[in-house]
Amino acid sequence: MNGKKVVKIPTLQIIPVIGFIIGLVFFMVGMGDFGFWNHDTNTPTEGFFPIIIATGLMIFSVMAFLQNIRKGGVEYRLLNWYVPLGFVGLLAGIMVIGTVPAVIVFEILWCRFYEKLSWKVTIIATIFCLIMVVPIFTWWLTVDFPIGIIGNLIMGY
Amino acid sequence: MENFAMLFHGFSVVFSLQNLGACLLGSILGLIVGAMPGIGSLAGVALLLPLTYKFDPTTAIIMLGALYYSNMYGGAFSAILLNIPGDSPAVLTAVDGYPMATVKKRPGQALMTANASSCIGGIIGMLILVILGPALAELGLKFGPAEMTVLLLVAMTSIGWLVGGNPVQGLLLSFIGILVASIGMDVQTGRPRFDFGNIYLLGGVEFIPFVIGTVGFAQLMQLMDEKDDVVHAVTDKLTIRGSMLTAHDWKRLTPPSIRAGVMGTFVGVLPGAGATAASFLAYAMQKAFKSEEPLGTGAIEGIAASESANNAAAAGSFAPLLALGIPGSGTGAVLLGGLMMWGLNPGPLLFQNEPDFAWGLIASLFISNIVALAISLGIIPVLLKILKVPVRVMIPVIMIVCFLGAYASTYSMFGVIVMLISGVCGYIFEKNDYSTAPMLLAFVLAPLLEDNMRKAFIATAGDISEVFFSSGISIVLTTVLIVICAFPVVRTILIKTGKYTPKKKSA
Amino acid sequence: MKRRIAIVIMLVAALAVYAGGSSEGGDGAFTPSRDVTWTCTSNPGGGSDIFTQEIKDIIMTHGISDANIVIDYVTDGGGEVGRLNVSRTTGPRANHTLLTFNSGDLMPMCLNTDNRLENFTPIALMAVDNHLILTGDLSKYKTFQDVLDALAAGERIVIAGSKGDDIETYNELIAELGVTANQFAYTTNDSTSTAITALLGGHVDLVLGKPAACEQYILAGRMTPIVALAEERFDTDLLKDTPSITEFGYEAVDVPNWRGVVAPKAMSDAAADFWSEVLRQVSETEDWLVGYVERNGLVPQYLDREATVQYMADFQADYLQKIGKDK
Repeated sequence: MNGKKVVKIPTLQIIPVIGFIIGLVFFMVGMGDFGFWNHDTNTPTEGFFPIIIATGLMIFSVMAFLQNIRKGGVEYRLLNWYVPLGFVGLLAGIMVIGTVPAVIVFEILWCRFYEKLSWKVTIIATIFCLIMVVPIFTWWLTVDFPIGIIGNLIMGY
Repeated sequence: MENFAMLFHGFSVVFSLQNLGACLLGSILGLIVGAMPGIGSLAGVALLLPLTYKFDPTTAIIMLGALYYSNMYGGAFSAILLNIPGDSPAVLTAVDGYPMATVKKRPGQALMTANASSCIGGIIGMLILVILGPALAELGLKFGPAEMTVLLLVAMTSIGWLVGGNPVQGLLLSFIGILVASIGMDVQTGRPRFDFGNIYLLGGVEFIPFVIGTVGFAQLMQLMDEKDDVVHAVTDKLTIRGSMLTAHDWKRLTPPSIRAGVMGTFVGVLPGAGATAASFLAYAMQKAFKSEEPLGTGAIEGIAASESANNAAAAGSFAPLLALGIPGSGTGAVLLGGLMMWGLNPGPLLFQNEPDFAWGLIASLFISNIVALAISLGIIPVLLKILKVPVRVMIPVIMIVCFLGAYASTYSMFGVIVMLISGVCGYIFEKNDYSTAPMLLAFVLAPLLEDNMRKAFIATAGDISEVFFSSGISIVLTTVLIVICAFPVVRTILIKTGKYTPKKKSA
Repeated sequence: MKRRIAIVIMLVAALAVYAGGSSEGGDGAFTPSRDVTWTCTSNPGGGSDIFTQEIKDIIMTHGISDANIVIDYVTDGGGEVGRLNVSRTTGPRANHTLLTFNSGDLMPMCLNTDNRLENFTPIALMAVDNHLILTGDLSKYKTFQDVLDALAAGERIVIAGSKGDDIETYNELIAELGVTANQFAYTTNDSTSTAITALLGGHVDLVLGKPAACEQYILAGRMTPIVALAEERFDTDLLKDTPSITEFGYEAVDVPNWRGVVAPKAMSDAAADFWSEVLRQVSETEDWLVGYVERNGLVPQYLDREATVQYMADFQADYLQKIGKDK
């Protein structure tokens, strides 16, 4: 769990490939569903602009691919990916047990058990987050955060 | 100078205990709302509106005007300290503000720069508003779909200045940004496009979660690398004294602030452009001028351009709102709703029928500018304490902040998922030397460009020459566009033929 | 230490439950217990917004309910996102959520999405609106006769309007006038105020709009109404001199433009009855009848819940048939 593991992925080449695919999809959908020019009214259709951009994207994707074709993979450390992974966990928690409990559990797990911070720091961090969630966003700014499946059961919906 | 007389009349209206109190309260709330990620001035004004029912309309608008205005100050705080723009106009403040605070270890000066240039931009905007008054709004009217199309094309060329070292990669990302922005309902036909059968995509991808992800969340992933470093950011100089700008700093921030202020005011007046577009344009314009350090590495000039422009635009957007009853932005629109609720009729007659109100509001903008500046400067030492928090504690807390901002700006988990995906993508992009700033610019400007271009084509029945040459403004802008596009080509030819040797240039 | 932690956790848990929001007590009558979110799917300043603001204002000034109403502008996806969000709102929020829902909202919703009236609780119908065409200082055409002459002479005219029922009205209009969309072209704008901007700047020839959004500009002399698209002239001081389209020998361009209010499907019966009653009281105030309905050239037409369901459902059925989605 030290996250020091390094993986080399050829993203310099993968990004242009994905770019090209995105361009191709928008080009095909644009052409297929909307067309390019409305000859009856002599005006552009809703496909006009995206088709131009999609074409440009495909060209730049090919250029970027050729530019980077000889370059090696880019190093990724697992460590950095704990952030999105942890975030997915947080979201799952929010969907199930609701925002406030999920935030508490998340902060405690991350600060106390992953970072091995003291309980004092953990609790201060947790309380800071809760102040953001409850008095500021929920009460004052009237944002209703998800209360999760369990919350919905308790509220009877 | 009749307008200045009216302005002084406006000041006499504002200088009552009640109005000054409203102005102060509005400024404080605006700063807080602005600093909250995801909650922009729009939500802030909308939330405060009900509180103002019982007020006299002048007092009410003074409070809301102050809130709207000082919100632009607040947006810079989290942008500079956390790399999370509190509001979309602050995106580019983060681009230079965050490196200045962390890499250059001058957080206090970064905040000061933001505040000082906000103030300069705001005052320029207000002075233009006072001098030109309703005429400023009439000027905005001259920009129809054709003029806006050419103007936006000029603006889009600034992507070229933002792409940095690798133009192909920068353009690739920009084009992806434009395609992502084109998802959703098409305004002209009212038909959905590229929604791929997904109802959430029908609504399009919102800018704020997109930005929080691309800039803020991606930053968090990078921060993991340095979380175990003992020394982070600054430990000394966290006092107001250590935050003071030097005379040299002032020299650097003033010219860009003035330029951006003038430009921002006019962008704020244009239909539908707003503070975000203004700050992007000013930043891109700054690229064309000399900056002491390259933009994007923590340059004072970058912060100054972005902050000055967005405050100036906020002031400029009051011109069409007050003189014509046409809101230049979503927030202006809510203010407009407020006017109607207080029994005023917004529209071309407002300046004539309600001079106390209109000039009182303008006068109060001056005061709230000063109040917001004073408060912001006062809380800098408190804000700087955030930087003393170790990175390993900050990371989980900012993750929650990212969630709150993304959710609050869309009221849906879809926004949060957009934030997460753009965050992961943003991280990968940065890691591969793809700069994301041009993508954000393209995302903001492209939909405006498309909408105006298509309206222009409908109005001219597809006659392209009429779009570019139908009016004096179009012709001037088209000339500018041609010059901008031709310049690099001509320059290359001159270099190749040995008639010109380029000087060493930063950025 | 452990005990302190336990206390903190308990406090936090208590906060969590409280933050979930309180709901109305028991079965009996409903009273709002939190801020009411009133979703408006068009930009502020447009007709829908003025309608919403006016009702909100009357509820507050007449003390019909002391609920704090917050208008939430959700214009994304042509308003579909706002409508979808409202239709899917559940929990205690459902009883505190209202949506301004006009014919101009129902039509694109049916056309572009699978969302239907059945996903809402209709609360009330408030008024029926009409369209008119206006010209500006910089426009070549000063009267509707000028417009007809120009069209007959083969000139190309550009008219600007908003989304939704404006587009439908425009389609009916060109059909009635017997011209093509190329000759009498239409630019769609986010709201009528954006269309007005284009007219005031001389970038389009005419504006198609409803009286409410145009009134101030007529008063200021910046725009002139040239034709009412209804059967008869408007019955207001400001618009009584504006000829109706029937005076030019055409049929009224009759797309019914009704204005109503709906709520999430999950709203309880008690809450729906409450809001229907609130709106009935609004519809009987002088402020409403004179200050809004008459001033804006509307026809007052309050319908209670049952009648509203019937009216809107009939309208939807007709429209679905018209666009061939009636299965």
